Amino acid sequence: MRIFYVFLLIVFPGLLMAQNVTVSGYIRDMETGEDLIGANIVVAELKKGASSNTYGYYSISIKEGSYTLHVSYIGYQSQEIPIDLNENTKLNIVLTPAENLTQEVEVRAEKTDRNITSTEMGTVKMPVKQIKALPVLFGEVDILKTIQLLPGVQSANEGSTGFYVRGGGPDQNLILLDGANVYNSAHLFGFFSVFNADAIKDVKLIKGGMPANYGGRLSSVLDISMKEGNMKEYAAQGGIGLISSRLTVEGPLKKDTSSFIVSGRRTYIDILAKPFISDTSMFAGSGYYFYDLNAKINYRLSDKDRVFLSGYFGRDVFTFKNSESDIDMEIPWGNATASLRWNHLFSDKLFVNTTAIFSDYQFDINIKQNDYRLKLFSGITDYSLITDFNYFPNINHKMNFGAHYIYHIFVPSSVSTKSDEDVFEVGDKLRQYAHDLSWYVSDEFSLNHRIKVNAGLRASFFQQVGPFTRYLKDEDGNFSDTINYTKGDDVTHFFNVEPRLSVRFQVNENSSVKASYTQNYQYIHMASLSAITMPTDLWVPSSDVVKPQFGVQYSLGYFHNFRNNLFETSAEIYYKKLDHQIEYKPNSTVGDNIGDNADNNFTFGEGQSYGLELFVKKNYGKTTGWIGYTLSKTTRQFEQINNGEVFSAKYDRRHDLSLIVTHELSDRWSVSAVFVYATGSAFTPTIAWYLMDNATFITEFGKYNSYRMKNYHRLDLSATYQLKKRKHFSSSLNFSIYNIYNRHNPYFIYFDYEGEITSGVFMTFAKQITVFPILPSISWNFEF
Amino acid sequence: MKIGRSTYRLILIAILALLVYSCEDDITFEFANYDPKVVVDASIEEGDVAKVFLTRSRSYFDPISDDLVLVSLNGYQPFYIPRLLSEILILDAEVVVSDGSITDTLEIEIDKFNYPYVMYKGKHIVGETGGSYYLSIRADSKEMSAVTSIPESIPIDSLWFEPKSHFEDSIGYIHGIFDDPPEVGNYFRVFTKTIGRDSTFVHPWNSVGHDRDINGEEDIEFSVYHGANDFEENDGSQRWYFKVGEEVIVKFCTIDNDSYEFWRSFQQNAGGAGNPFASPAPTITNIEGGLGVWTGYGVYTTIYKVQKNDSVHIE
Repeated sequence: MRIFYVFLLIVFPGLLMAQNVTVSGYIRDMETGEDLIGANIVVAELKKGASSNTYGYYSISIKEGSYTLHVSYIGYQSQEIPIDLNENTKLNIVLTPAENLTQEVEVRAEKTDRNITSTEMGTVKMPVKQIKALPVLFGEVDILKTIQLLPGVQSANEGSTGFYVRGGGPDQNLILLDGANVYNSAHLFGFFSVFNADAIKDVKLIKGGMPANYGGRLSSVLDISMKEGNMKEYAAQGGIGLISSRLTVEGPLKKDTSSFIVSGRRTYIDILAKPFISDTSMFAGSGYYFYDLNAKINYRLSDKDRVFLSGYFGRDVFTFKNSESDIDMEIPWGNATASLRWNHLFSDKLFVNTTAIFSDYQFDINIKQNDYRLKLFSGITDYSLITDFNYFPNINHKMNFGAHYIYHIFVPSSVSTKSDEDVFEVGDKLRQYAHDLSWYVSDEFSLNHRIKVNAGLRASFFQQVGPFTRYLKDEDGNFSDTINYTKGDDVTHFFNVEPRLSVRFQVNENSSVKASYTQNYQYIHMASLSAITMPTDLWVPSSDVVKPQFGVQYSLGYFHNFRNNLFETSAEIYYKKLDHQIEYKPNSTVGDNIGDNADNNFTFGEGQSYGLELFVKKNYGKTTGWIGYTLSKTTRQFEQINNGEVFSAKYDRRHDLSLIVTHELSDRWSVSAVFVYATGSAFTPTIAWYLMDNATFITEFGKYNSYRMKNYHRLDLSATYQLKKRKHFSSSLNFSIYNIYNRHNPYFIYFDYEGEITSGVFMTFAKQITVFPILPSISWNFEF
Repeated sequence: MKIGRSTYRLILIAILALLVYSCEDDITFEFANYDPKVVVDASIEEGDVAKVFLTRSRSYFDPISDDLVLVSLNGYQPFYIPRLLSEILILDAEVVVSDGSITDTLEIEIDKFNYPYVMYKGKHIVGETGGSYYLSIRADSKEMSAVTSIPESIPIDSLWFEPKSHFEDSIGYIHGIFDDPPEVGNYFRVFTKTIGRDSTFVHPWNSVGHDRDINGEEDIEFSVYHGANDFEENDGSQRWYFKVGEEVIVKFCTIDNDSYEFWRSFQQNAGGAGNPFASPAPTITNIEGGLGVWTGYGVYTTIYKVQKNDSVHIE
């Protein structure tokens, strides 16, 4: 440890200061004992402060003296704590949820100017409570859909949980559930996210100015923390909705020491649909369902040590049968993650979290038609070990440093086909194995009362190792040679340095200007063959063929709060450059991966995005909500697409507006509304047709992504009615109407013809498919 | 087995059926001043003269009327054809094929069995193994050119019949074996013509193949089902099978890389029509200034009589 301190002192001489005393501890919810993440503690006399980390821990080191601590957290009553500090002090703080307060106090609650004072930019934290208040599709609360309502974040498709941040691809979002990578965050082809809101405590999205403790993705971080479970008493909550039901049970295993939470969800579309598909129907046996399960236990071994074990398991199963064409298809896919973490306090000032993680994503297709069988399997499995240190030397510095190691196993696609006796299999030889190692150090420090800096450095090393077979090809695509690597051989490796910098300049008490620069490398890539995000999308590692993705982002923002932080406003501009992007070459098919390296079928290119994001948010009072607007432009350029010319990215949206309002009408009723407007998605039109080879209908395409679908807009409303509370039981009814004015928003467009070409009597047409016209729903939610 | 267009459609229907509320709207787009391109469907086979079909591409939303119009062509009685065909047919093109030393100006004639029923046919140049052939076309005030070559043909070792099932053992597929040549970069295309059933050669939906995975290997097996021909009488689902007792001409062709790339992209484009999940699959043409393909075929032809439990070794 001593060597480390010496290193720190060399790097950050500001740490040499007069002898201080430390006040430290945990900030928790009074009722449930849950740790509160990112709660603010301000030393009123110094106008300086700190915030609690992911485990609710805070530490402030200042000179001896008498101070007042002002502790605040969104949704909770603030507290003023007078303290005489003359020795190191443990102070655990409990906050009371604001909903239990009288109206008068509530106005005083939640005041926070964190958005002004912190160095964080492009960062949004969202308590799950806020997410649950908004209107939802089919009565399903969805974290990822709420995220899409923020400026700079675009949805992939109507109703889809896929999202694009500041022009980055969907594979450039680091989605963490209790520290574990979630590779596919969607159920039902993207319509629902895998995150069950009942099991989630806190959601943090970082769009720009990514701190050095996060890496491995270019565009954003979505850091989701699961609840730990009620430390005080047993509780259950759940809901019954139109398409799924869910139940969460939590409670202490040993009061104030250990607790658990288990949360499950399953859809019943398949069961509801059964009566409508008779046993004799040619589609008999077709169906779809998904389920997921979250579980977590934690144990406080002492004031210094705590362990957590958490897991997630979810599966989608899609079966399709058609007796007429003798097709029998089953497609299961899903994620599984497990995290074992250990929090330890080396001292009041040094907090360490060590986590061992398993994460797995699998996708299978089994198709049987007549006597032909096709099995396709793809997936990615990670084993990780992560250590993160938080060091709080004094009130002017907050340091993070650590190391992350991941062992990846990629199965880009493994195919086997069987037709009568012939079996064709591509087995293990196409797996790819990689070591992914990174180290980081960052320091958030105040230069003076106006300027605060968060400077960080991340170093990353990525190595693809054998066993692996590389197929070399000539110009015509014929195999010319193969290179065989045996176990542990170095196929290729990369080492890169990623500097990160954010600076805040406090203009006055109510406003600040912030700027950030980040440089990121990403060593895993997602390749998609279809026009929409599908579970078939493959994950592949950087390799001897695929260079690591590289991104640079500059952003500048002005933050201003009005009326005593009642309104938060911000304006941010950003510019982002992305290098070494991949796409499949035009005319690639799934079959091209058979007997070949998937990355041999890629074409490489670059992208850029720039934009302006405006945000106004009202934080408290009877009416709350926000308006977000984004003006942006996102382009891509690939050698083998669109003749090498620049084209609009699929998710380029010139305008993107979200308006969210929640209003409490009375103790019983609350209502909310969401309005969204977005420029239509870019797509490649079919501009002409012709006939060849004895009148086969062939289409000619226009320029890549040169046309736009109709602009997207819709209004959703919802009302929640609190049913009469009993002693240990409360419940509410939620009525939602999605797309109330029944706008037919395009989900996709297809071009086709009908009639007989041979007789010259046929018609070409284009159709726009809308998946969600007006959709009312009702759900009943309970707690006891 | 084809998992093509119909399967995509079924998957799509299945997904949409889950989202029971989905709806469809007709839409159109304005494609300003689309200038129709010349579509070239041209080939030269080993031992035969060049044959070229010429049509025009058509702006996607241009209306199609179903009345008939009278067409006159030199040397023929005037005849009625659908208006659409009259609008896309090119009857006044100048089509020239050259083998590098002599040139052959193709002449128009009627072909009753192949849409669009009118072709430009060569006279003097006959395709030979190893030859390169240059095509130049002047039509609709545009100039098109292309080059192709005829690779050496590959003989089929043996052919046999495999019935559809134990219960339906009088219909089924034809299987065959060939030895792949040692050099890399061989491409194949297979056709059949069932005597008394087809008036022209037909091919399965996926008719092209390559030797990228099997280069130089012996006893490569392939199978063919009876290809679609919308212009002939057909007996529904039985049309995809060969029947015991039928005599089938199996034409096993070799093509060059450019031709292979075209036919592969052609299959993909045709299969992707109406499938919204497919990425755009533009055809990869070898025609400079136009659409379509100019294909040279090395040809190995044999006649197989469909018989149960029988393997025919071909000398």
